[in-house]
Amino acid sequence: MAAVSAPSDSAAPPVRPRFGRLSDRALVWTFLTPTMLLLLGIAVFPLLWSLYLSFTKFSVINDANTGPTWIGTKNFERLLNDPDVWLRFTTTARFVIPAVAIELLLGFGLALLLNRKFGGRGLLMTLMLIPMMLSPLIVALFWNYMYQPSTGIIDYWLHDVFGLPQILWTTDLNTAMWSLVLVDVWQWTPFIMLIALAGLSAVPKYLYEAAEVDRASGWFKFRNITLPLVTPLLLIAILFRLMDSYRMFDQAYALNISGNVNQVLSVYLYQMAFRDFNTGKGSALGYIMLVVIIALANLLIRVLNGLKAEQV
Amino acid sequence: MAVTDTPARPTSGTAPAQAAVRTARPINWPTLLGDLAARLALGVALVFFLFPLAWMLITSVKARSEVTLLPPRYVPFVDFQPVADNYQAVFTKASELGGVNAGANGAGQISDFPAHLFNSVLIAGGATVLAVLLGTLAAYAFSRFRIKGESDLLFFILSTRMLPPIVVLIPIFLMFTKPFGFLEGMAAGMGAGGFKDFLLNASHVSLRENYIGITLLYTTFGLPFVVWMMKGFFDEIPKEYEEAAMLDGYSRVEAIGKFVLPEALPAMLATAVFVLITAWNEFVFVQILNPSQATTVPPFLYAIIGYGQLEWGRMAATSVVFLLPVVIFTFAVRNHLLRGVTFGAVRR
Amino acid sequence: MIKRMMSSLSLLALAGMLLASCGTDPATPTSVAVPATDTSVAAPATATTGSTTAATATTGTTAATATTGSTTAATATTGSTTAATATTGTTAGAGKLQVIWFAWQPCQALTDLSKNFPGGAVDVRCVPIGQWHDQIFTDFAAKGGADIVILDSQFIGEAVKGGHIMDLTDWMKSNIDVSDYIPAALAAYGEYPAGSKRYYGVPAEGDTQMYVYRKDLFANPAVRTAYKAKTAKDLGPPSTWTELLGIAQFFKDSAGKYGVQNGYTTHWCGTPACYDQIATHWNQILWSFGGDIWDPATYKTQGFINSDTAVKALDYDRQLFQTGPAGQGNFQFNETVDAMCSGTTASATIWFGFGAAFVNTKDCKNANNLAYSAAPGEKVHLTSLGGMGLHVSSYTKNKDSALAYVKWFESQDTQLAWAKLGGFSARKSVLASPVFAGAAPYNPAFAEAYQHVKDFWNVPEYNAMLQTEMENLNLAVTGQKATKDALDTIAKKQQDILDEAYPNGPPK
Repeated sequence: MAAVSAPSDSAAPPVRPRFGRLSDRALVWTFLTPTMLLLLGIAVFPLLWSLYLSFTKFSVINDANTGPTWIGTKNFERLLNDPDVWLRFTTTARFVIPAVAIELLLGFGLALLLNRKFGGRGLLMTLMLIPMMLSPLIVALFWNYMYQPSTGIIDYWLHDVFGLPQILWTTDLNTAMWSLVLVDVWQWTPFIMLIALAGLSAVPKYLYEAAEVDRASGWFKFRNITLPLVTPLLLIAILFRLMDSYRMFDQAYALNISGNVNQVLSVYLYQMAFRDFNTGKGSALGYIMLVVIIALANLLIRVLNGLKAEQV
Repeated sequence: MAVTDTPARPTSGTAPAQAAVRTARPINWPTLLGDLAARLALGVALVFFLFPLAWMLITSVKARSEVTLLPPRYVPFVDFQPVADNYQAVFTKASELGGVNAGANGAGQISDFPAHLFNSVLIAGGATVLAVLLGTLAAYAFSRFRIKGESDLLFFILSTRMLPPIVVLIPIFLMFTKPFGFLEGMAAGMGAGGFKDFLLNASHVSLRENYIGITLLYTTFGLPFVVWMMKGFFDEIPKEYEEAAMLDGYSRVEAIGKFVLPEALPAMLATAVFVLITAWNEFVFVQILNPSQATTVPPFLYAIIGYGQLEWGRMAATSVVFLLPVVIFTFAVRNHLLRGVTFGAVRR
Repeated sequence: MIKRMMSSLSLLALAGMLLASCGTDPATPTSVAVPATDTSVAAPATATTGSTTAATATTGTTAATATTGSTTAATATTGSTTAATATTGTTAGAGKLQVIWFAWQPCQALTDLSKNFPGGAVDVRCVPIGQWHDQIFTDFAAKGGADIVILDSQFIGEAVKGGHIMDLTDWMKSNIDVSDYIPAALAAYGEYPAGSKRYYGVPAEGDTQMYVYRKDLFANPAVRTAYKAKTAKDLGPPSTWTELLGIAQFFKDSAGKYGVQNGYTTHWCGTPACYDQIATHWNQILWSFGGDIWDPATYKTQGFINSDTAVKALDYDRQLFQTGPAGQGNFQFNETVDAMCSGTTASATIWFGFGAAFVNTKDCKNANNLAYSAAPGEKVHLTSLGGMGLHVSSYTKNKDSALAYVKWFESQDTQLAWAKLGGFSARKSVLASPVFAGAAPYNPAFAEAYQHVKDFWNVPEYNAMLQTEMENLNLAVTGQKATKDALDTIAKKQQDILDEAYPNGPPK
């Protein structure tokens, strides 16, 4: 691990020694060790372990006494040749892309609307944050209640009041994914809104004032002042939302929507590992998921850096 | 909303966003229409985001027969008579079904919720305190000392946050089941004796179904976030601050305790909110690791929907009760939230 | 501020790259070192002495001497038994027995019943049905969990294969009055493999499907006349599925004229969280129509589950589905009960085990308007076997009291008390007793229905087979997939699963 050198400012004047005093070097070790140990023990070690398991044939309920059997890359070959796995990747994309896109548009739009002073703004904003504090599990269970056809409130308004054709939210293969997207949008749009608001409030006022002197149009100001300054922050938000919705499990598990075509990767992986107890194969799928998200995150970060370069 | 007064506007942007531009910027000549459109858009959005919350509250005070009644009843005392049944059912076994014996009445018995809530407080609270303390110390070290490979270490710490948790669920499960299982192998090679017994006993220790394992796990989930957030805060506190104290004869540890930590406390609390929310609401790990002992509320909540009755009211009431502590804590430290959601990228 | 943001962005970028390099590069020394460190932990059993292995071996064969690894290890090194038990945190608190089942009324009733167990406090855990299997087997994987597990008949093979439950064959000889039990129940809830006379469990709850209907509507003269005019038959609980469909359609077509909007509903849910719900509903229709889901002698599904009879049975079910409430495609047991209790639907089929949800007006508004009969047949009368057995975990630390509990539960007195609480005994003497007949309004129907039970495949691969069946049946009844297509998909996938698991045909 890290070797420690002298305090960052060697110019600091020496202090007279006191009893019970730790050297700075010891201090750094004391401060860092617990954190590093926990991360190594509970985050890194399991990851390496599952890397090993991903190359084995192993089921925790059947092979507990024989242990894992090394089978090389067979798990990966089987998974990558399995149309079911590819289907789950497509499904996950069908969830992640619309969810994050809608959250972005809606969240940014809301931030623009809320970015001005009006009575009750503080209260409104705090209320808007509650969805983020709710357990995703509760959110999904409660939306499930609202989605109920013929007894739920959503169906009542859309179908009974507005006379739209009845939507079988969670059971119709075509709408089931959208019902999951909607839940995610409800819970996480405030997150993007919050970040966008932070960006908006940081835009220096004099820029707008200068633009107004030049009689610039509203669109011009939005395009040339607001957007460029908020974009980097929004991209961070997107990055977080992408990673989080990619690994989203609780909502999908609790909403219980129909169809294998609507099963996202994390639920599929859970099934493989804790219902079928294909421990080795599940570990392999976990690794495939990991590699994909790393690649995606990298791509997004490249875009981010590109934007940054553009601005300089 | 689609009404525009600016000609030749590109159509690629979102409608609400465009409508908003005119009201969002400091406008000197607000067009009445645009303002109205913005207000309308805002209103619709607020209904979408706030109605489910209101509906949850309303549902939680409805009698079972009214929960699925159509047309829906919205206003307590006007549309329907609110009842405390659901809240009573959160804490007592009043509404749990007595089977064919209708006489069985659990109103006097305490339900399993308080015990689960206690576990939640202990585990999520413990993990939050641990993560914030340990993470703050590490962050201090990163901020104040030059550490070889510091940036690598920081990236390593951040990277652990990116993992899809479900990926590590399998090995965590295996590891927690028998974290010291390898000792058994070591003991096998020894003759009988006290040390062998010790190793054997230690090899049977499990981190499943107890408080320690899950608390450490949640701590680990929270650590990267705390380290990054707090490092940002410490970077803002000038180091002359404690150096002055050290010149006065305080040791560094004392200086940290007396001057730096009090200064960092609000930031620590804000950071704690996010660690707490994550740990408080976590579901899948606790379900796999602690299904029967030291179980937190989320798996319990999931199990409420059962028993052949749709207990929406009870679920809503439980959710509300379960949400309250987090809401209170969050509102207490709301001024630092913004920074929290952006992982320290936005300063206050 | 923006500048700072940018710097943190570049940090993020670097983080990603670092992640990429340590996640994918197999040549780094850390990943190479993995196998060596891991084998020792992942497979502790392989590296150990005979003590643990011996212990695990015994669990499979002679139940009476079966013990867990830790106790054996501890006894080998005399004197440290208590220490070993104290440090092992996986099982429930020492002494307090734990039973695990899924959340439904009988589980609640078992909690009440267990209060009378003289051997000490018993903790009954009721988990959501979707987690029932996963929870128990996760605990097995951790060599811990409840002392007594209530398994579905399908789980038995899986549990025996992994050595997770105790062989009770010998113990039963002296502790259970086997002659008083319905033989089919003994076999279904305990025997594995079928016909082997090796028993791994005893009946906990017998169950099969019942028909629930609105007796007030069925007795209503206006309804009766209209029904007779339409079908030329008297309205009453149906004895065939065709008749049931006719009644359901009659009520659906009446469009609320008699106070109900819908004719029939059941647990149509086909997602993995719903375990076996739509499959157990439809299997019995197929069987009654004269078909089968597979050939247990050859392990063939092709030509069985997609036979012409099966298509007919599924087409039938699709019609039946159309008589139910809108959006019932994900209905589970709860929603089915609710549809009957709230009065939206005239009839339903559901497990007898859920009967307790119907009986009192506190829980069920329409309780006094409901009546019950056995689920119907068609060409033959076969109904899905439900119910579960009591099994003793191989990992229990309370073996003696666990077995004492099983013995107590199966005793005639307890079984009578169980019947009073709404339980369904598999003891002939209890089923024939007036106590049972009078305990619940649907009990007489149970005694009749239970003679027609049939179970589905009991192979350890059942879960993968079930999932494809569940999904496709649901798609077919909800009209989202052609019935023939759905059945062909099921047949093919199931055949693939079976062929892969049994390349040399069925086990001998």
